[in-house]
Amino acid sequence: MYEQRLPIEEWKAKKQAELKETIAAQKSALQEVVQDGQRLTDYLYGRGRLGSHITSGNAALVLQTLPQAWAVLTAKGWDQFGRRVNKGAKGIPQLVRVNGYYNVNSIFDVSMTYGNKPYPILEIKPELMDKAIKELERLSPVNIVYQNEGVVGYDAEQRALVFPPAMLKQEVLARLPAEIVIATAEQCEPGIAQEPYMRKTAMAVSVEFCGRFALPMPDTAAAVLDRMSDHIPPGEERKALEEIREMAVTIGDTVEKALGLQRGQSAPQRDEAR
Amino acid sequence: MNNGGEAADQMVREALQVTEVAIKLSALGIKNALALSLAYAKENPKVKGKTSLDRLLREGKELKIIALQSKDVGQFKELAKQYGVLFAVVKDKAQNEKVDVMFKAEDVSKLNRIYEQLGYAIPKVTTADRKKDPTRRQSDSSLLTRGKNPLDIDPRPSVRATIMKLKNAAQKAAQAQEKVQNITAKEER
Repeated sequence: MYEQRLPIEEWKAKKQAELKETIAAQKSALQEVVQDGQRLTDYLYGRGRLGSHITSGNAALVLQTLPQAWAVLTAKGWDQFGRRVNKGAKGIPQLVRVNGYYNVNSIFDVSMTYGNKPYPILEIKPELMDKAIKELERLSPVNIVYQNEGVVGYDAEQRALVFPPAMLKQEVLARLPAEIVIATAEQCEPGIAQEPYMRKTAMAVSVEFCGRFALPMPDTAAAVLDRMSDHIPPGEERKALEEIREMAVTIGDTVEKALGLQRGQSAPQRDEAR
Repeated sequence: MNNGGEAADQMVREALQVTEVAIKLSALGIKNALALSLAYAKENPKVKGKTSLDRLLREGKELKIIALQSKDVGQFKELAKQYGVLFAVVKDKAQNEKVDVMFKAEDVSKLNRIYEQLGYAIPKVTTADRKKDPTRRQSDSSLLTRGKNPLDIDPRPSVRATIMKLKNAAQKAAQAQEKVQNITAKEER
């Protein structure tokens, strides 16, 4: 009935090989992700859809296997949530840190599970849009001004985030995280908003935020995020993507908490080594 | 990537790290610049040069104090920075010529060197004589008090001593009674 136990040395070697394989898979997946704007946009939106609490490498593996994945948990996590993993379902390998040691674990998408309890989809309802914008304004170092003249977004002269009054609330909400990042960076380092890498990073935060709350991402996202790899030194993709995740998590968590939205999830994963 | 672009990206990376912290602080409700600057100051605390007395006291370490001529304070500041001494100046409004300088006790050796360079005589280390043990209570019975604090001695009367006294009295009474009995017996004969 049960498989014969492996000798301890063989088992150790097998685990080591699994670990190496997963690390290599993560690395190549992350390198692929930053290659072009569309892929990076899809990845960030997908990572946001997964809740932003999955580390960059693990999210890359999940989205590589299942591009439409929107809720992933371990088999135990699904059990606790109230759903069961389908018999014979093959989990997606994940790198997890247990007691300081890296280990390979498996997680399953909601599509690989069955049960009566539906997994809640996180979305900001139209009546909550204003509240969400107000909450984001609280995070911003400058105020939001609605006017037709001037630039759209962060205006260094006015020291405000400018949006036209006719702009849809949904659109304002989608753009706000990027503008907040830019405004905050400008407070620390005036003139930094003009740097292309800063613009790309800010847009990446917005895309991830949109993914998390099922908002349509800004139209220019893919174009702005194109050639992101030019600004990331080779081998530092993980670090750059984790930085984006950190900011997206902070902004997303603040909105989620303020609106009282709840997402079924297991414990958030720890940051990967930067 | 050219060198100029690399430098700009490096600057953006640094700015992003600060931005990340600032956004996190904003999310926690700390929005004003003072709080931000305090947070940065915590990350990079001042370790040498002139500081406030509060900052020195907050470290909770033993402090020492020396007197300095007011005109030497400027030179002292430079030397303190050079030698890595954190200090605070305490001014006495009534006495303008002299100021007191407070510093951590662990920096004494550096201060001595600075003092030498400023042309001051290094204060001699005066070690207080070891205080003698407190005098024990003078008592007739050395056994009772030796090695004991007078307060430790139980003020209640000793039970053993009372029993011994009663026993002695009983013994004497018994002896006296025996003597009386012997005398009466002799008389009867």
